[in-house]
Amino acid sequence: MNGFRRDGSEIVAVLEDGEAEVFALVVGQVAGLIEDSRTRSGDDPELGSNPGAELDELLYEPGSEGPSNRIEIDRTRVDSGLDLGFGQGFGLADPPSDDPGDPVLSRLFPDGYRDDPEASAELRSMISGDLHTQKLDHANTLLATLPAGGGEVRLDGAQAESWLLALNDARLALGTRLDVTDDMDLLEELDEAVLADPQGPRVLALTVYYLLGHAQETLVEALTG
Amino acid sequence: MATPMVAPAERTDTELVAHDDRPWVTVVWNDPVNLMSYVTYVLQKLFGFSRERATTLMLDVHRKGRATVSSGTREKMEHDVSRLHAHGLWATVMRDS
Repeated sequence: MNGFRRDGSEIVAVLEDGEAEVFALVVGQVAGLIEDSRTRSGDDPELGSNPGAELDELLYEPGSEGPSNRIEIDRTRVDSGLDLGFGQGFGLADPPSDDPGDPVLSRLFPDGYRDDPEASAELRSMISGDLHTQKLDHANTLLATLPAGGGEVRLDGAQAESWLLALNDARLALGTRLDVTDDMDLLEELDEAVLADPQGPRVLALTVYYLLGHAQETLVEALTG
Repeated sequence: MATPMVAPAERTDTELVAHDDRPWVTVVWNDPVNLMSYVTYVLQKLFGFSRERATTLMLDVHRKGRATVSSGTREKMEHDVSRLHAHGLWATVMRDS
Protein backbone atom coordinates (compact mmCIF):
# COMPACT_ATOMS: atom_id res chain seq x y z
CA MET A 1 0.00 0.00 0.00
CA ASN A 2 1.07 3.58 -0.57
CA GLY A 3 -0.40 4.48 2.75
CA PHE A 4 -3.16 6.76 3.90
CA ARG A 5 -3.76 10.25 2.57
CA ARG A 6 -6.25 12.98 3.26
CA ASP A 7 -9.00 13.64 0.75
CA GLY A 8 -11.03 16.61 1.92
CA SER A 9 -12.55 15.63 5.25
CA GLU A 10 -11.87 11.95 4.66
CA ILE A 11 -8.86 9.69 5.03
CA VAL A 12 -8.24 7.30 2.16
CA ALA A 13 -6.00 4.35 1.35
CA VAL A 14 -6.01 1.57 -1.18
CA LEU A 15 -5.29 -1.84 0.30
CA GLU A 16 -4.18 -4.83 -1.62
CA ASP A 17 -5.89 -8.11 -1.09
CA GLY A 18 -3.19 -9.57 1.11
CA GLU A 19 -2.91 -6.41 3.16
CA ALA A 20 -6.63 -6.30 3.91
CA GLU A 21 -6.46 -9.92 4.93
CA VAL A 22 -3.50 -9.38 7.21
CA PHE A 23 -5.18 -6.41 8.91
CA ALA A 24 -8.32 -8.45 9.47
CA LEU A 25 -6.26 -11.34 10.76
CA VAL A 26 -4.17 -9.53 13.30
CA VAL A 27 -6.77 -7.01 14.47
CA GLY A 28 -9.31 -9.82 14.75
CA GLN A 29 -6.93 -11.86 16.84
CA VAL A 30 -6.14 -9.02 19.18
CA ALA A 31 -9.87 -8.36 19.56
CA GLY A 32 -10.39 -12.03 20.33
CA LEU A 33 -7.70 -11.90 22.97
CA ILE A 34 -9.27 -8.81 24.55
CA GLU A 35 -12.72 -10.36 24.37
CA ASP A 36 -11.48 -13.54 26.02
CA SER A 37 -9.80 -11.66 28.82
CA ARG A 38 -12.93 -9.58 29.41
CA THR A 39 -15.13 -12.64 29.56
CA ARG A 40 -12.70 -14.33 31.89
CA SER A 41 -12.31 -11.39 34.18
CA GLY A 42 -16.07 -11.04 34.33
CA ASP A 43 -16.07 -7.36 33.46
CA ASP A 44 -19.16 -7.78 31.40
CA PRO A 45 -21.27 -10.73 32.48
CA GLU A 46 -24.21 -9.29 30.54
CA LEU A 47 -22.60 -10.06 27.21
CA GLY A 48 -25.54 -11.20 25.15
CA SER A 49 -24.00 -11.69 21.78
CA ASN A 50 -20.77 -13.36 20.93
CA PRO A 51 -18.62 -10.85 19.10
CA GLY A 52 -15.91 -13.47 18.97
CA ALA A 53 -17.99 -15.55 16.61
CA GLU A 54 -18.60 -12.54 14.39
CA LEU A 55 -14.89 -11.87 14.31
CA ASP A 56 -14.22 -15.44 13.33
CA GLU A 57 -16.68 -15.09 10.48
CA LEU A 58 -14.98 -11.91 9.38
CA LEU A 59 -11.64 -13.58 9.54
CA TYR A 60 -12.89 -16.37 7.38
CA GLU A 61 -14.59 -14.01 4.93
CA PRO A 62 -14.96 -15.95 1.71
CA GLY A 63 -13.94 -14.38 -1.54
CA SER A 64 -10.65 -13.14 -0.25
CA GLU A 65 -8.70 -15.71 -2.16
CA GLY A 66 -5.80 -14.84 -4.38
CA PRO A 67 -2.10 -14.46 -3.90
CA SER A 68 -0.42 -11.38 -2.57
CA ASN A 69 2.83 -10.65 -4.31
CA ARG A 70 3.34 -7.37 -2.58
CA ILE A 71 4.14 -8.43 0.94
CA GLU A 72 4.81 -12.06 0.22
CA ILE A 73 2.60 -13.41 2.92
CA ASP A 74 2.31 -17.15 2.63
CA ARG A 75 -1.44 -17.35 2.38
CA THR A 76 -1.73 -21.04 3.01
CA ARG A 77 0.11 -20.66 6.24
CA VAL A 78 -1.96 -17.63 7.22
CA ASP A 79 -5.19 -19.41 6.44
CA SER A 80 -4.38 -22.66 8.11
CA GLY A 81 -2.74 -21.09 11.11
CA LEU A 82 -4.99 -18.09 11.50
CA ASP A 83 -2.70 -17.27 14.31
CA LEU A 84 0.37 -15.91 12.59
CA GLY A 85 2.17 -19.12 13.30
CA PHE A 86 1.40 -18.75 16.93
CA GLY A 87 1.07 -22.46 17.37
CA GLN A 88 4.75 -22.42 16.48
CA GLY A 89 5.88 -20.12 19.16
CA PHE A 90 4.41 -16.64 19.51
CA GLY A 91 0.71 -16.67 19.05
CA LEU A 92 -1.82 -14.03 19.82
CA ALA A 93 -4.68 -16.44 19.48
CA ASP A 94 -3.20 -19.18 21.54
CA PRO A 95 -1.26 -17.54 24.31
CA PRO A 96 -1.08 -18.92 27.79
CA SER A 97 -4.41 -17.17 27.97
CA ASP A 98 -5.40 -18.35 31.42
CA ASP A 99 -2.28 -16.76 32.68
CA PRO A 100 -3.07 -13.27 33.96
CA GLY A 101 0.58 -12.48 33.35
CA ASP A 102 0.27 -12.80 29.58
CA PRO A 103 2.66 -10.06 28.45
CA VAL A 104 0.41 -8.97 25.58
CA LEU A 105 -2.52 -8.33 27.90
CA SER A 106 -0.18 -6.66 30.37
CA ARG A 107 0.93 -4.33 27.62
CA LEU A 108 -2.59 -3.58 26.37
CA PHE A 109 -3.86 -3.08 29.92
CA PRO A 110 -0.82 -1.98 31.91
CA ASP A 111 -0.64 -1.28 35.62
CA GLY A 112 -1.65 2.26 36.50
CA TYR A 113 0.90 2.42 39.32
CA ARG A 114 4.49 1.37 39.01
CA ASP A 115 5.21 -0.12 42.39
CA ASP A 116 1.85 -0.34 44.06
CA PRO A 117 0.02 -3.53 43.08
CA GLU A 118 -2.87 -2.71 45.39
CA ALA A 119 -3.51 0.73 43.89
CA SER A 120 -3.03 -0.75 40.41
CA ALA A 121 -5.62 -3.44 41.08
CA GLU A 122 -8.06 -0.89 42.42
CA LEU A 123 -7.64 1.38 39.42
CA ARG A 124 -7.90 -1.59 37.08
CA SER A 125 -11.21 -2.62 38.62
CA MET A 126 -12.56 0.86 37.90
CA ILE A 127 -11.34 1.37 34.33
CA SER A 128 -10.73 -2.00 32.70
CA GLY A 129 -14.34 -2.48 31.61
CA ASP A 130 -14.33 0.78 29.69
CA LEU A 131 -10.88 0.11 28.26
CA HIS A 132 -11.94 -3.31 26.99
CA THR A 133 -15.06 -1.85 25.41
CA GLN A 134 -13.18 1.00 23.75
CA LYS A 135 -10.50 -1.26 22.31
CA LEU A 136 -13.08 -3.72 21.00
CA ASP A 137 -15.13 -0.89 19.46
CA HIS A 138 -12.09 0.40 17.60
CA ALA A 139 -11.16 -3.08 16.38
CA ASN A 140 -14.73 -3.71 15.23
CA THR A 141 -14.85 -0.37 13.40
CA LEU A 142 -11.67 -1.31 11.55
CA LEU A 143 -13.00 -4.74 10.67
CA ALA A 144 -16.35 -3.32 9.54
CA THR A 145 -14.76 -0.72 7.24
CA LEU A 146 -12.06 -2.99 5.85
CA PRO A 147 -12.75 -3.96 2.23
CA ALA A 148 -12.66 -7.76 2.05
CA GLY A 149 -10.30 -8.74 -0.70
CA GLY A 150 -8.69 -5.33 -0.74
CA GLY A 151 -9.69 -2.05 -2.34
CA GLU A 152 -10.29 1.50 -1.24
CA VAL A 153 -10.76 2.38 2.40
CA ARG A 154 -12.49 5.72 2.89
CA LEU A 155 -12.82 6.86 6.49
CA ASP A 156 -14.41 9.78 8.27
CA GLY A 157 -12.55 11.34 11.18
CA ALA A 158 -13.95 9.05 13.86
CA GLN A 159 -13.35 5.92 11.81
CA ALA A 160 -9.79 7.01 11.05
CA GLU A 161 -9.23 7.50 14.76
CA SER A 162 -10.51 3.98 15.42
CA TRP A 163 -8.19 2.61 12.76
CA LEU A 164 -5.27 4.42 14.34
CA LEU A 165 -5.94 2.99 17.79
CA ALA A 166 -6.76 -0.51 16.55
CA LEU A 167 -3.58 -0.61 14.45
CA ASN A 168 -1.64 0.56 17.48
CA ASP A 169 -3.07 -2.18 19.67
CA ALA A 170 -2.19 -4.70 16.97
CA ARG A 171 1.38 -3.40 16.87
CA LEU A 172 1.64 -3.46 20.65
CA ALA A 173 0.45 -7.06 20.71
CA LEU A 174 2.68 -8.23 17.89
CA GLY A 175 5.65 -6.17 19.09
CA THR A 176 5.35 -7.73 22.52
CA ARG A 177 5.20 -11.24 21.06
CA LEU A 178 8.22 -10.44 18.88
CA ASP A 179 10.20 -8.97 21.80
CA VAL A 180 10.77 -5.79 19.83
CA THR A 181 13.41 -3.58 21.41
CA ASP A 182 14.26 0.10 21.08
CA ASP A 183 17.47 -0.42 19.15
CA MET A 184 16.11 -3.13 16.89
CA ASP A 185 16.52 -2.49 13.16
CA LEU A 186 13.43 -4.09 11.76
CA LEU A 187 14.85 -4.78 8.31
CA GLU A 188 18.02 -6.31 9.75
CA GLU A 189 15.90 -8.39 12.04
CA LEU A 190 13.85 -9.55 9.08
CA ASP A 191 17.01 -10.47 7.14
CA GLU A 192 18.21 -12.55 10.06
CA ALA A 193 14.86 -14.24 10.44
CA VAL A 194 14.83 -15.09 6.72
CA LEU A 195 18.31 -16.57 6.98
CA ALA A 196 17.35 -18.60 10.02
CA ASP A 197 14.11 -19.93 8.57
CA PRO A 198 12.58 -18.35 5.47
CA GLN A 199 9.29 -20.11 6.11
CA GLY A 200 9.31 -19.47 9.82
CA PRO A 201 6.61 -17.69 11.75
CA ARG A 202 8.99 -14.93 12.77
CA VAL A 203 9.43 -13.84 9.16
CA LEU A 204 5.67 -13.61 8.75
CA ALA A 205 5.14 -11.77 12.03
CA LEU A 206 7.95 -9.28 11.37
CA THR A 207 6.56 -8.60 7.90
CA VAL A 208 3.11 -7.95 9.33
CA TYR A 209 4.58 -5.76 12.07
CA TYR A 210 6.40 -3.71 9.45
CA LEU A 211 3.27 -3.37 7.36
CA LEU A 212 1.18 -2.25 10.34
CA GLY A 213 3.82 0.34 11.24
CA HIS A 214 3.80 1.76 7.74
CA ALA A 215 0.02 1.99 7.74
CA GLN A 216 -0.02 3.66 11.14
CA GLU A 217 2.73 6.13 10.28
CA THR A 218 0.96 7.32 7.14
CA LEU A 219 -2.35 7.46 9.02
CA VAL A 220 -0.86 9.79 11.64
CA GLU A 221 0.53 11.96 8.84
CA ALA A 222 -2.82 12.04 7.07
CA LEU A 223 -4.61 13.00 10.29
CA THR A 224 -2.18 15.73 11.28
CA GLY A 225 -0.85 16.94 7.92
CA MET B 1 21.92 9.17 52.28
CA ALA B 2 20.30 11.91 54.29
CA THR B 3 18.12 13.33 51.60
CA PRO B 4 15.73 11.00 49.79
CA MET B 5 16.95 11.51 46.26
CA VAL B 6 15.59 8.25 44.94
CA ALA B 7 12.68 8.28 42.54
CA PRO B 8 9.32 7.40 44.06
CA ALA B 9 9.35 4.20 42.07
CA GLU B 10 12.37 3.03 44.00
CA ARG B 11 11.25 4.26 47.38
CA THR B 12 10.85 1.55 49.94
CA ASP B 13 9.89 3.72 52.90
CA THR B 14 6.13 3.44 52.70
CA GLU B 15 5.69 5.46 55.89
CA LEU B 16 7.18 8.41 54.14
CA VAL B 17 4.92 7.98 51.13
CA ALA B 18 1.85 7.73 53.33
CA HIS B 19 2.43 11.21 54.72
CA ASP B 20 3.48 12.61 51.43
CA ASP B 21 1.87 15.83 50.28
CA ARG B 22 3.65 16.20 46.99
CA PRO B 23 1.27 16.57 44.03
CA TRP B 24 0.27 13.66 41.86
CA VAL B 25 1.56 13.42 38.32
CA THR B 26 0.97 11.33 35.22
CA VAL B 27 4.16 9.89 33.76
CA VAL B 28 4.50 8.43 30.28
CA TRP B 29 7.21 5.78 29.94
CA ASN B 30 9.28 4.81 26.93
CA ASP B 31 8.35 1.68 25.05
CA PRO B 32 9.90 0.21 21.92
CA VAL B 33 6.72 -0.14 19.90
CA ASN B 34 4.84 3.16 19.86
CA LEU B 35 5.81 5.37 16.93
CA MET B 36 7.24 8.78 17.79
CA SER B 37 4.73 10.52 15.53
CA TYR B 38 1.89 8.61 17.17
CA VAL B 39 2.99 9.52 20.71
CA THR B 40 3.18 13.19 19.69
CA TYR B 41 -0.28 12.96 18.14
CA VAL B 42 -1.80 11.38 21.25
CA LEU B 43 -0.24 13.94 23.61
CA GLN B 44 -1.60 16.79 21.48
CA LYS B 45 -5.02 15.22 21.28
CA LEU B 46 -5.46 14.28 24.94
CA PHE B 47 -3.82 17.27 26.60
CA GLY B 48 -4.20 20.03 24.03
CA PHE B 49 -0.44 20.59 23.79
CA SER B 50 1.02 22.49 20.87
CA ARG B 51 2.84 20.35 18.36
CA GLU B 52 6.12 21.75 19.67
CA ARG B 53 5.33 20.99 23.33
CA ALA B 54 4.05 17.51 22.51
CA THR B 55 7.19 16.81 20.47
CA THR B 56 9.43 17.92 23.35
CA LEU B 57 7.61 15.61 25.75
CA MET B 58 7.73 12.75 23.26
CA LEU B 59 11.49 13.20 22.86
CA ASP B 60 11.87 13.19 26.67
CA VAL B 61 10.01 9.89 26.74
CA HIS B 62 12.16 8.52 23.97
CA ARG B 63 15.56 9.76 25.20
CA LYS B 64 15.18 10.01 28.97
CA GLY B 65 12.78 7.13 29.29
CA ARG B 66 9.93 9.12 30.80
CA ALA B 67 8.09 12.44 30.83
CA THR B 68 5.55 14.01 33.15
CA VAL B 69 2.55 15.02 31.08
CA SER B 70 0.09 16.24 33.69
CA SER B 71 -0.26 17.00 37.38
CA GLY B 72 -3.16 17.52 39.74
CA THR B 73 -5.43 15.48 41.97
CA ARG B 74 -4.97 11.76 42.19
CA GLU B 75 -8.41 11.20 40.63
CA LYS B 76 -7.56 13.42 37.70
CA MET B 77 -4.26 11.60 37.17
CA GLU B 78 -6.02 8.25 37.20
CA HIS B 79 -8.37 9.59 34.58
CA ASP B 80 -5.43 10.76 32.45
CA VAL B 81 -3.70 7.40 32.83
CA SER B 82 -6.83 5.57 31.71
CA ARG B 83 -7.09 7.78 28.62
CA LEU B 84 -3.43 7.16 27.82
CA HIS B 85 -3.90 3.41 28.26
CA ALA B 86 -6.89 3.57 25.91
CA HIS B 87 -4.46 5.00 23.36
CA GLY B 88 -1.83 2.36 24.02
CA LEU B 89 0.70 4.57 25.79
CA TRP B 90 2.42 3.18 28.85
CA ALA B 91 1.56 5.61 31.67
CA THR B 92 1.41 5.54 35.45
CA VAL B 93 0.18 7.70 38.32
CA MET B 94 2.98 8.83 40.64
CA ARG B 95 3.89 11.30 43.31
CA ASP B 96 5.87 14.16 41.86
CA SER B 97 9.58 13.63 42.48
